[in-house]
Amino acid sequence: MKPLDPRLLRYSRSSRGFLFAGALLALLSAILVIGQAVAISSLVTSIFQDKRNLTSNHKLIIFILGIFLLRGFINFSVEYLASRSSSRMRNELRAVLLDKVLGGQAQEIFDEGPATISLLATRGIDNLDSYFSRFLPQLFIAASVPLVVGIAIASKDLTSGFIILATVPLIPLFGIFIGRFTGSATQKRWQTLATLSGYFLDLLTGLPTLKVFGRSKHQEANLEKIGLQYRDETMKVLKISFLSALALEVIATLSVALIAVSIGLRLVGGSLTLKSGLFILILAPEVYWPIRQVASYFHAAAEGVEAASRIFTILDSATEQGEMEISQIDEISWSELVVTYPNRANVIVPAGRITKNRVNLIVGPSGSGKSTLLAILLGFQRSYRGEILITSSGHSHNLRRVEISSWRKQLSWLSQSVNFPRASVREILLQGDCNLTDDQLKVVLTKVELDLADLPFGLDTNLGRISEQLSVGQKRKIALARALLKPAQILLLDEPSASVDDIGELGISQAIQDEIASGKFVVLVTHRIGLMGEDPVVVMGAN
Amino acid sequence: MRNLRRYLRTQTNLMLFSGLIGGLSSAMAVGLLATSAWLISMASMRPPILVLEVAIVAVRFFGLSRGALRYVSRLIEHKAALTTISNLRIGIYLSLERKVSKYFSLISRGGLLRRLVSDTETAQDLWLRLANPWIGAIVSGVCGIGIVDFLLPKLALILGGILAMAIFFVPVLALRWESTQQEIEESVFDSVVQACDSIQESLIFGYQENVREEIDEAQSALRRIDIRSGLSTGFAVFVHTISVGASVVIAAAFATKAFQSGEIAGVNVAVLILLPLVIFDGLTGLPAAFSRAGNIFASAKSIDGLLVVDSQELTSAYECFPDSDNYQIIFDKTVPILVNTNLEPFSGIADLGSILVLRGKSGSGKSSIVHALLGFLEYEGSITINGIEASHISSEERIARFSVLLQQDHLFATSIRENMKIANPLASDDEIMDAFKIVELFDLVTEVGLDTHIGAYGHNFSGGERQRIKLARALLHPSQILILDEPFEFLDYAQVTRIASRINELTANKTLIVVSHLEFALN
Repeated sequence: MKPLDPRLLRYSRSSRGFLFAGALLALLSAILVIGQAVAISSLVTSIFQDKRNLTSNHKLIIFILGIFLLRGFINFSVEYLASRSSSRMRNELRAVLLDKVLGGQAQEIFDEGPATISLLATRGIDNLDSYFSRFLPQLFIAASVPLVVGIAIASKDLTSGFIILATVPLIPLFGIFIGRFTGSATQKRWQTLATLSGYFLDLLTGLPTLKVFGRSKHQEANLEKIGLQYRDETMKVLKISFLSALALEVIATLSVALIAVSIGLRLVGGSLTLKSGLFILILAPEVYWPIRQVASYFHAAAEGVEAASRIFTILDSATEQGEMEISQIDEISWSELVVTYPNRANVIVPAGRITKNRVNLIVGPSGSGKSTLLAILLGFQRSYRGEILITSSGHSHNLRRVEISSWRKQLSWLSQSVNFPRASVREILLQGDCNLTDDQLKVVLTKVELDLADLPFGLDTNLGRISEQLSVGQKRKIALARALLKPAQILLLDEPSASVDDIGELGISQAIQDEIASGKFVVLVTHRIGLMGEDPVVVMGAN
Repeated sequence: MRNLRRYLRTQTNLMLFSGLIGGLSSAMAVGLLATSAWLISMASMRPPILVLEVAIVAVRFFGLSRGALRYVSRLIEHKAALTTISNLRIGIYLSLERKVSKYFSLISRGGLLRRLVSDTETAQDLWLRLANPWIGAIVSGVCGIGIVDFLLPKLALILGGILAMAIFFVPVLALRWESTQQEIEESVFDSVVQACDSIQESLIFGYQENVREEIDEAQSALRRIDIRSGLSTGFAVFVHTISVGASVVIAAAFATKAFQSGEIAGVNVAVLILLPLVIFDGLTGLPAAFSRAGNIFASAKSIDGLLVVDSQELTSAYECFPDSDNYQIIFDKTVPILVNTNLEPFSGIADLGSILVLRGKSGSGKSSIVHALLGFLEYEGSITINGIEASHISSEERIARFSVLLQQDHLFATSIRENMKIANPLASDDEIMDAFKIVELFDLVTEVGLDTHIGAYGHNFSGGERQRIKLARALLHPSQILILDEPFEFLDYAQVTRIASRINELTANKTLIVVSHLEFALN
């Protein structure tokens, strides 16, 4: 893992300003730390050795106050800047990621499902907070303060300079050494931890199941056992990381003690002044502390950096885009299509042809690839062997070379599991065709046999994740209505009668016949062969 | 937060102890600086080396024990926190297990279960992030002031006052009470998850723009909060720095006077002026920690709400479940009671040889009827089991006598065998395989083996396969009464016909209630 990924600069514009300001503030605070040491050591010497009184030291005292005031402002700025920029950079990163994903440019979301991407765009990016607001600012400080302060110390006392030069590299070296040594063991432990921590969620999700089989009472002991096991495994991981923190801390404090003792001895010998001695004593911890702190933030930030590098990989990936715009469609046909899934047998779609003036039935048992064919037609599944040809005003075009959004404009679709955004029923239906009046919407709802009186607030009823006021069947009817409304040439219906128990078969047939009469391609994926009284164009899983 | 406190309190002693140790570890830094300052001042007066020996040893001791104490304190506090979490999980599980209706109202809304899990983990931060560092700051501060008090009591009084104010104000200034932060965060997350889930439909129906707008809006609200939080944290850090500066100057003034009046030895001047630099060190991490306090409190509060103990359970005396091998269940104008929804009354009879099929419009509450029969929901009207009103029998006993397939049924992230044994712990492998024969999974399971891990949420299997595993599991449970809620979802028409006829055969002398629109399959 790199502490600072150059891709961050590319994808987050505000990161540049932040990095610049952060470096500047770190340098300023290094200078102030030195000024403070100079002032305090002078003050102590002048009181103790020169026996001066307070009034003759008033300039020094005002200087010290000024330095602390400035340090206060700088600390304020670092904190404010870090918090603000962290928020900004996280939002920017989320925005570019979502632009890519929602624009249909990230093939990962179709291949791996939405869960990994949405986890990355939410918790993953949130984990970057400690990286942006803690680790990065500390990294600047660690890169500048020890160097500047070390030079300042060496300029007063070469011996202390040598001790610092010899001991400072021990901290990162030791850190890396410990990391290497424990890395793979820790990695394995984290995996065990992930399994154990998933247990509680698994158990809560399965509570109704345990309840109906009378097993819910027996879980207490299990839960306790797993909880304690989780605790002990976590402690093993933590012991390692605390121990490495301890090692670094011991190196740092012993180095400071070494410097202090050597100063003391040379003071006795008379080769060093008290002022220099105090100056070095105040500054010495400032050399070690920032480096040790970076190491401790590094662990907290690692999770976020991991997420960031995965996000960058998605952002860097490019999918091939076709350029042929398509408008009028006469026919769609395909050769045998083969899709390979990991851990599963290949899905084979036999060659087929879709024409107007009929119901294009696609039938086959579950898992035989009906949904795969639809996913290919919709442009979500892009890795397949075989070709899809679209005949448009006498010419045949390969689907791979067709501009995808112009193609999708021609598609309307009822998916198997409906997913609405947070919107009212009216807004959902208007996604199909935004020029319709309420009365026209009601006509379609009647067609799919959805009674507005059954919806709590009629067309204003809210849909989406938050309000689960409607049943699956009602939602599918709304989705079917939306699919019918979209003025597209091709209508893809995936199991229109599943979960919709009370659309009379006649009702659906009638709606579909209407669409065919209006000149649309109608593709129907179903297990009810008898439904339309027509022969299927494709039978899946026949071999 | 009375209920949560019960759980946190069990580890109080350990937590306080670790806070104390942590504070002592910071105090070692105070000792280190004080001794070094004394050492250097003393050395400048060129005494015999022997005088310095003690200080040299002390410097090394402080240096080493600082790290060691810190290590010990972190180990103790994390162990205590993890134990607390483990107990909290059990508490939450038990309270949900007792209150199934509360559970159902919880899971009906999106990712709340997942959030509950993360809230449980956040609750430990009350100790780890807020209380303990604060206790540590007090302990190390008190130690530092103690040294000052030993040397110059007058100064100790003033520095003590500044420290007390800083220890109180620095966290309070950074503190964000805004629980809205978490709400807005959740709403951003919700929108993002929603957008990702509905990506395919949004591409076809072209509403990504709206989704993006919604997310951008929530994000900018989040940014405003972050900026405010940055301002207050920054201000707290500013106050911290200024307190140190003021203390250094005040210490210098007092030390000068005391030194000139002969009250203190000259070697202690450096000690007194340098001590303020470290006395306040314990406060360093507090602003950042307390800026997240609003979230921690919000999590703690939502956990607390779940842990409420219901005192009026098991008040009414229950009747026994009738023993028979011929059950008749009669629904008479049954209306399950749901918040915000009025359901139509339902009547029907399930009998030997006459299957009760619940069909009807989607959203008409078929599953709620099942839940009412199981005791997950209260109901009006009547449900009788061989003449006894269902609500007069405890929910536990009712459930024990049924074989149930729920729509919420879950496949656990373990082996196929373990999942099946939940329904019948005594079932042999042969019995399990017999159940798989009914649902046409025999070949698949034979091929992959009963030890196959089912994957999180059953992800190693397709939707139809998962549904059939659940159905087989329900059939494995020995019982005279079967209740199957949508058993044929995701299955093919032909397969449904075959499986349904096998179920018919199997349940010839049992009572069967089925929620399904494929009633024809069950004649």
